[in-house]
Amino acid sequence: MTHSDTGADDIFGEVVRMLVEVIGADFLLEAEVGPGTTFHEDLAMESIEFIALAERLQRRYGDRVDLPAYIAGLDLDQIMGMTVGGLVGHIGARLQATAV
Amino acid sequence: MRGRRVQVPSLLDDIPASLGGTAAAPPPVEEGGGRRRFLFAVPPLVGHVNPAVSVASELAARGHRVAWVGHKTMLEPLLKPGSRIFPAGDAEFAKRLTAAREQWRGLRGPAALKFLWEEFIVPLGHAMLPGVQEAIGKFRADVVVGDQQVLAAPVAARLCDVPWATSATTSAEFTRPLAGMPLVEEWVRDQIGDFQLDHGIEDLLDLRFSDHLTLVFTTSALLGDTSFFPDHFAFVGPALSRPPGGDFPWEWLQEGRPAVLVSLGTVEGAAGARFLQAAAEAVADLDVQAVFVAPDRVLRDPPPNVLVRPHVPQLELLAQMSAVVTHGGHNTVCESLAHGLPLVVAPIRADQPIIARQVETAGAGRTVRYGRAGAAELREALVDVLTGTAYREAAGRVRESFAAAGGAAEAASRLEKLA
Repeated sequence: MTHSDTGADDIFGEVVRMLVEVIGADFLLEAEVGPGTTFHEDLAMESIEFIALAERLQRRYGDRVDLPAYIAGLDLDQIMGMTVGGLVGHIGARLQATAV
Repeated sequence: MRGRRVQVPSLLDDIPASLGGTAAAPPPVEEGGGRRRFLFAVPPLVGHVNPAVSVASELAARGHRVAWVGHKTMLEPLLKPGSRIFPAGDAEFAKRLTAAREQWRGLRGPAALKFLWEEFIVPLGHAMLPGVQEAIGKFRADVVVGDQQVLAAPVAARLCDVPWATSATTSAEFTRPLAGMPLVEEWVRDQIGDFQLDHGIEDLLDLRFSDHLTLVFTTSALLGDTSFFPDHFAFVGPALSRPPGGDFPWEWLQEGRPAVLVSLGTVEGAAGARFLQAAAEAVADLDVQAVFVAPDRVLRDPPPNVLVRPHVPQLELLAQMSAVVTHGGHNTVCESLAHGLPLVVAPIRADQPIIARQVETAGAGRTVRYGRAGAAELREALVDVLTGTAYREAAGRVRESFAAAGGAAEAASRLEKLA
């Protein structure tokens, strides 16, 4: 694994591109998404869009990143407040951990 | 979260022995064994009242006495004239209902779940409890049939030592939809546990699932495997026998031309305008007729093949349809499948995404986005379910399973055994 693979900026960029694909460019511009953007309140993500995002994460990162496992650790308020930055941080940490 | 000695048992991953089929088996009723008195406790939600009305009519037709307890002004128009209704729910909660509905329409995802429990189910339970207790006494109820969202029903029944049944008008709770979010699942159980503790009950039950009889208005053909449920879970299929639903310009429907019903149910109102507009655009160029259930003036310039009606006689209309586009309300989905109709489901919130998954898994339809689906996305899904025979065949399998399950008659028979 190269260092750039796990860089937080790269991961953030990739996740944002996936979000734009899933939600649609008509509704979301990459520039509108920041680390503090919430999936529910800000992006109004629907279940079908979460599934599509999870599939893209799986394709890109494989089993190293497990979105269901990440969500399983959150309580209701944390799930309501889930941010793009939070997910990116989780992905980064998982990639770091599995890179060793 | 408060500390406590007792916890609501979890249902599906760990069914305790006390919930097993043998201990709770009711004594058999003798043939022709007398009139019994059934009290139906319902929330102020049309979709939760309709299946109960069907079961209550069946019981009444068999000579039993039936009464209702709930929000009287909301219930009256849904029941037969002369139905006995005991009021439950304080004035303060009733006043908040309109505002709560408004807020509900603005919520999605986990925020809707939090709101449902904290602002609706739990306060509704507290508000209804005194009325339900009083109704049990005044009506001398032999059995309380509580909607799954009326926590007051099981608590009052237990306090009055009367057997109680759960009427589950959506099947979402039977697949453990929150299994992937254990902390949220536990939070829901805590809401149910705290409610009982607040009323002095310490041997906690999961009030969503009666240990006497839990009626579920679906079958395994839609829900998935039900074989591991104890016998007191009765999957009776939809209870559809309700009075005819009013006027419709039947002459508008052309014989031999495919017809589609587009409905977002009784809750969404004008908030569904964007979706309905996209759906109208989606059907404009198709050789179909479409009946849209929507308040007046929500659709701008509907195309000529779209008929907009604020209300429809849904069951009669479904008999004339080829497919249904819905938000995934359990009643509309099951009524459509009972007619063998494939579905396009655009789930909005609460149990709807779960019901949409059931439809997809059964092969009886497609799921689309509610908030962002455009005309092209909707048209593609609709044409797919209209032309793909596999969807229709799958819907037909669900229809057969529903028909075999017995519906309101089976529900009534199971209730008779409780009394």
